[in-house]
Amino acid sequence: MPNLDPSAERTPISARAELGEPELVRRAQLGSSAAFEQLVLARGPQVYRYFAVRLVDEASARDALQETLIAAWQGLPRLRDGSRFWPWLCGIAAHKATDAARGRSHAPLHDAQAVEPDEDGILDVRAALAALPEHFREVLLLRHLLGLSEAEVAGLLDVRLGTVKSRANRARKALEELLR
Amino acid sequence: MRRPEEPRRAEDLLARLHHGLSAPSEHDLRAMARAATSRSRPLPPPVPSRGGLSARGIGVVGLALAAAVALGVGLGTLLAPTGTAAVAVGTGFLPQPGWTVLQTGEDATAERQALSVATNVRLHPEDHARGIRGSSGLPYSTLLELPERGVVIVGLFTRRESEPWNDEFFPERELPLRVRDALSSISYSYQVRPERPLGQYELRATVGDHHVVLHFYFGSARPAPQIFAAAQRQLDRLVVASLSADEPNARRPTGAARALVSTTIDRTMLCDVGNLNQFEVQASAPIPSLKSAASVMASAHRGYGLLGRVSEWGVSLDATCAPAAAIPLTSRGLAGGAVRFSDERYDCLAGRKVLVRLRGRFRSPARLKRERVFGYPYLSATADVREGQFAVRTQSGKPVVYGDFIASKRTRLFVANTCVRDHIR
Repeated sequence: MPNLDPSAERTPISARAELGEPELVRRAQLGSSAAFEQLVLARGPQVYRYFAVRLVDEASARDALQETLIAAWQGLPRLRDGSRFWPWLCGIAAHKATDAARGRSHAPLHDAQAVEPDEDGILDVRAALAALPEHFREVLLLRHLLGLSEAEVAGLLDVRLGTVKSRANRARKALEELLR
Repeated sequence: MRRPEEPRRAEDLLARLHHGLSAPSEHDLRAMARAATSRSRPLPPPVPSRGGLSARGIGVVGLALAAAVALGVGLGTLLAPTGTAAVAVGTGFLPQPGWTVLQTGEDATAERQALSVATNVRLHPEDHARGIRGSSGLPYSTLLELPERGVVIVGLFTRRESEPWNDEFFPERELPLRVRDALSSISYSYQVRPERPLGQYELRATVGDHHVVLHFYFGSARPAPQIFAAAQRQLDRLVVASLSADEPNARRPTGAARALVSTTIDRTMLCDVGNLNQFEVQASAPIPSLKSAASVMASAHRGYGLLGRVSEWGVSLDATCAPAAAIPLTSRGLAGGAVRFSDERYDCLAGRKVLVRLRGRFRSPARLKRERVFGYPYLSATADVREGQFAVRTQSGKPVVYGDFIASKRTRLFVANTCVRDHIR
């Protein structure tokens, strides 16, 4: 439940360790840029890494993160349940990534032979991910890079839960095939 | 042969990837957050009206004019004040004394709807300066100034055959229709005048071969019984042309009327943009040397994506969107201008559902046809378009996008401050 005590508004934001994400979201919804900054510090790196994998280059990832944060700030008042902030933010990020990826020439790796293990035997996961079909890659990234549940991924992609499970399973197998 | 740990291998690798990727510094993240919070936020949508329509005191005066008009009494005027009416065959209102009617003057066809506006106040010049065809279909300026005892009735008539999938939303009713059957809000629309709310009601019906949508606007949020009675008296003078075989003129307008009817496609829809609550709008400038056509379109992150598009090559709209009351085709309240480059794109936040209106004026008669694009149902008309207009509003009525073009000449795009320019390609 959101804290409706007016005195809560006077709690310094530096005490963020004691403030949960829903409370930060509530304050950000009310217009607190400090609270929004804390949310960005907490969640921004994870979103950036997602963009870095999907969009490959750093500049695009930064641009996409900035666009996502703007959309999040402007859309926050419409978020009804503060506890749903993370999947909601992931939804914006996924859309931004799709927009950014549209029209780009990724030159994805379609040839499994092009994926070479490095000297330590650590495989190039990014290259393998790039070789996956878009809808497979997206499920894997949302599930394992952003940590969304299967149900949340289903809601975000507007597909059935079974579809997400199926895609995730096939994507994992395809990834392992590429990295074998 | 797989090792026992292999099923987790992909997850482990992704986790390792996650930890191995760099991220912006705290300084950079703070700067990004400040850049975001420096942007203004959209105003929250107004609370929808919950007023109920009381049947008490509603005078029901059945004049049974429908039958008389079906036998030949004319409607068909473009602007008929104070009870006058030109002789023509059509669908719409026969004005009662003291009322003014603005209407298309002919029946709906498969290509376009017929529209009729009846009011007991003087129509604002902006709402009829270019006749009904040049208007937005919603007498917006008149509504903004509607006095307390004022009434505006907007009737929209669509041939059933052009949207049979909507039958379930239009219960069978007979003329004269009753104000008391109206619902106390207009679905897929918004409060036109939030600062002094209008009474807004909607009545849907299947009358013969037509889907009829009537929107009642009263100058007061709680109209007096006499005002309802006045609206009913005008409603009693509603005529919906029959398409029976013995009335061929009603079925097929001839000559100039037919050409006018079939060269404009104008639709307003309520579209679900998916759970991201945002959509993308894209406008392209005409570049004849590159065979690049002018267009304005909106798409969302769901289904096949396209919500609606009007371009020099035709009109397409998502058939899963619901028909809705017309929204104004105006750039008022938005910022923008001519599209200078090949295209401009914006991401716009507007809620889960948006009102989308598109209007194309074709060089020759065109017809919307139902088709599927990668399994998704669309309505499309492919033919040369001379002029196109496109508007998007939130469900609460806030303007978000307006765009238009003149073929081979120019494209303009105007957006709200809730739209963010998309530079990423």
